[in-house]
Amino acid sequence: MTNYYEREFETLPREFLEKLQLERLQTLLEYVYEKCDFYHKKLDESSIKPADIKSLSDLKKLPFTTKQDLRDNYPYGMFSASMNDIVRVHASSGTTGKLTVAGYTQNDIDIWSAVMARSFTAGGCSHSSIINVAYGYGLFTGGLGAHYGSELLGALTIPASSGNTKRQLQMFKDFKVSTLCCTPSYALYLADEMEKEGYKISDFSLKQGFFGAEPWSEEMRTQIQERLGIKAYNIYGLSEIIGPGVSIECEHQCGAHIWEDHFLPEIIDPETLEPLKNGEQGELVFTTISKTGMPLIRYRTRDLCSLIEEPCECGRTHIRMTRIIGRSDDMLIIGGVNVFPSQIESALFSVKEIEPHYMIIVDRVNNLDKIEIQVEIKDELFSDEVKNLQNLKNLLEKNVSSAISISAKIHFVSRGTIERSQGKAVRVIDKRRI
Amino acid sequence: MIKQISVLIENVPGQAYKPINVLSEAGIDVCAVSVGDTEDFGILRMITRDNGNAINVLKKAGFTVNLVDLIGVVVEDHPGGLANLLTVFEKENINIEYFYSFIPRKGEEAIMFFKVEEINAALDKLREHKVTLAETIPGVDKWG
Repeated sequence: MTNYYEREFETLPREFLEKLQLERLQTLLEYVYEKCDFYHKKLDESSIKPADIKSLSDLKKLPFTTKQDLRDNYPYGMFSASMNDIVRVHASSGTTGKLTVAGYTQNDIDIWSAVMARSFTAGGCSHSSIINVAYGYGLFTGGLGAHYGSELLGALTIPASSGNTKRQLQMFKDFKVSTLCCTPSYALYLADEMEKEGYKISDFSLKQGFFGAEPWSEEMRTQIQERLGIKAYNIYGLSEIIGPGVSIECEHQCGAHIWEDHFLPEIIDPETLEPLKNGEQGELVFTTISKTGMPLIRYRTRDLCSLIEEPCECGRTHIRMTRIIGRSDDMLIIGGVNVFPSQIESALFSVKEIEPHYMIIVDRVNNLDKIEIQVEIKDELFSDEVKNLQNLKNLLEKNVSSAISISAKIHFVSRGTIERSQGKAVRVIDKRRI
Repeated sequence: MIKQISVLIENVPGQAYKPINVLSEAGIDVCAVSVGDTEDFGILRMITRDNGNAINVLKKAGFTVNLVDLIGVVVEDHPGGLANLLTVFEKENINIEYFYSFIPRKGEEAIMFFKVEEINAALDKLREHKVTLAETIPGVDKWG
């Protein structure tokens, strides 16, 4: 027996869903053309008027929006709503030290809460659930997104945020937590700590968890499910589109339903930018069709996956997406934080002692992501004194950590240790088995 | 002044062997060695009998290398010899970054090597105290 949060929308026959999508898309285009200088100019440059979009297949005529557009229009240039109507911003780290900002109106917060409530329901939650939100609260969308959805659903919401693992475990037990929201790697870390602290699955009342904000695999799902004794659901989202709740797996765990009445998905070839057919693998692109704060047209997520159009047994008519299998750029997601190698590079090169050879090594130790950066130092500036090298190491660690918002370990290596490549330099070794 | 070669090494097993072996294969005699280390890197400091050549072969082998000046002081090899010398450093407020020793043969005079912040000022002060400075060490005739 499948439960829905908004049954009429979630099970809307495709024909009506697509009619609703077109109406919303047309309204949105009129709205952004009028309200947002960026889109007004962009549509004019593409010689497209909102009225030219007469069917969903006309979507491909519209220009793309990229993360660079968001950076170029930092902080408020992409907003369509007037500043008085924006009630919240979230942000994620960018390559240039500038944040990628997303603005929300009350309408957007309501939509977000509703898609999160739908998502919790799809994974078997209800108003009687006790939901522990162990995503970070703050500029990152994970914490507050899950929080608002959980409250709208009427569940008991625990704003645990991330960290303080011992206390989290204590709460699981004492508060009879039924539902866990965190990154999949943190879920496995919790499982490790549970064993160390001598807890058994039977000490808890856990039923399900909603995991996302970083790529993970079916193997990790099996481990999480077995070790925590729960069902583990893949939840997807990005702050530019809304945050978590863009898509969610239902109880059948066969791909994540994209809430298509709000977010219109496409898959494109990242090289030719041509739309691909459902089932073909490419870059995921979204058009938000109901948001008013910062609606985006054909936003390139850089996430690679494919769409599954076959009907799902759960009765939801919304298309499903596969797991994210990679990125069409070089962005790394480390412990839920977006990291571009170029950020690390510019932090390293701000220190003159450093040779232009470095290697970023990402690994997962005890289920937590770690970054180590191997660097070579110039002969002339290499010191025979430990304290000088230690100071240099500390300076580099400080520079890199402040650039990418997570701590990185610097490891000095001899000249020539880092392989010189003939073609495109390999700067990253990702040892994580995801 | 005595020249010292410093080599950057990683703090993992086998790392000190590599540069020493490079020198050994090139037939270069290492007469004094000291290591400064942290949990993940180390600095191997050496005084060799052929610094010029030593630097060439080490660089060719890919090591990060530098050459610095140390103060060499002749110390009598008997109880109190080093203490007497260090009293001078203390009196003159000469800050020592690190030091280590070279003892040619038992009973002979030892040579201590000192890395200090301002080498020329330190040398002047040591001379004032009539400290015997080693400008060379036995058997070393070529400088890098």
